[in-house]
Amino acid sequence: MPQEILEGLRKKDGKILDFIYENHFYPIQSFVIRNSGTDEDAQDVFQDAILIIFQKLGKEEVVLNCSFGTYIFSICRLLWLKQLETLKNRKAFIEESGEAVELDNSIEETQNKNERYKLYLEHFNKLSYNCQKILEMFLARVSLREIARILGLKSEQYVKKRKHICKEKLVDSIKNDMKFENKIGKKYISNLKKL
Amino acid sequence: MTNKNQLIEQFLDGELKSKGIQLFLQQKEKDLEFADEYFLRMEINNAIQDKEFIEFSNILDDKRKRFTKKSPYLMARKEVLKSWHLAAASFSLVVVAGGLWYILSNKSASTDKLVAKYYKPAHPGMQVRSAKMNTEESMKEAFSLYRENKFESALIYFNTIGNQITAKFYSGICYIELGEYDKAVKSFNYIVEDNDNLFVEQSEWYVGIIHLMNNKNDEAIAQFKKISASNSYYAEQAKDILSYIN
Repeated sequence: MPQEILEGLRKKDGKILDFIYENHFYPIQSFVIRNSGTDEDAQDVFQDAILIIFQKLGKEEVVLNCSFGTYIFSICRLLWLKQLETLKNRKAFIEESGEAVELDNSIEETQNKNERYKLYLEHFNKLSYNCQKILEMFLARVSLREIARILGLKSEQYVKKRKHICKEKLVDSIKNDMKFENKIGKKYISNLKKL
Repeated sequence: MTNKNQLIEQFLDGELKSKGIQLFLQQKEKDLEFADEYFLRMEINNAIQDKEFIEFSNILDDKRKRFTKKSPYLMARKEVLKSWHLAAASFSLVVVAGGLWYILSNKSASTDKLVAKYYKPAHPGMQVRSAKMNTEESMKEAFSLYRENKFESALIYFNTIGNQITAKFYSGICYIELGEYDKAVKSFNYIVEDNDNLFVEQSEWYVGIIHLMNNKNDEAIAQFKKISASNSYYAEQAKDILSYIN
């Protein structure tokens, strides 16, 4: 059964995702709420955990020696602990409930990276339609001529100029976000170097 | 852009020759701030290109919306009648946003392709079980069918409710799904003219979308200009569309 769930998750099977929500969310909601969190926090943590498992499945074979419920609970527990630590609210973590298993370091690393990606994409999505398309196509190695043709821009040189403007706008926007400064900031930069 | 940032971008874009690459590597080695900037910019590029991450995150966002209190699934467990309109709204927004994305990404795509992508045939022959069914029951039945994408059948129930605003609004969405755009516009215009309900902005927005689906560009431009000039929730999105189709 756990392997069937993992296989469905790997295939992004909607029914399996529904099953996961229907059957495994409530213990996590209960755990987070009992430990200084809100319903919204529980939803965040649960969603992050599913994403992490999905990414892990894309990289390696995952074989569970426990139930899927225990596995996802363990990940959510770890993520919520980390969240409380970030908020310097470790003392608030008082109540253990549910069975948890030991997890490898990759879970936390993936979560850190996902947090950064979310921040980048949040700001990317705030860019104008043309800016988003220019950056996407440029990074996909679409030729400048083709980008100009698709977006109706006047010249290849202009596309290049716009690409630089859009990228700088994006980088500035990210750097000016409180989340970048407070939550991720300098600490994450040093972690990035290890990549 | 500073010279340092320019050097980083040139490196990331693969524009540097061997001498430039050497200069970049030396700078990265001796200047920590430069190295930080490089890793940040590189990771931003990676995030933009990570379609798997973006796609699956969107799937999960959608699942979450459906699961939370305003969603059809949880709603079905709890207070179906109190929150049906919100549930269906989240669903219909996904459908229409998907349609819009499709239009904008495939400017030359025909309406047929759009309909083929999003239209799911409803089961025919569904009949209203009782002429005496009250509004509440009809609405419940309509949304049950709506959530199963049985738009033709859902429409039968919505239409039994008459000019009730919520029913009118979702009958408009059903008509979109069925490709009956003129009828959809009629439903939404009724809501806009009523002007004393919660669906006015959404209805105006959908009318613009329908014009796009119908390849009526002039009407679409006029509609989105009207929205962008207003205080509508959709004003910014309307501006984005205008910048593309104008």
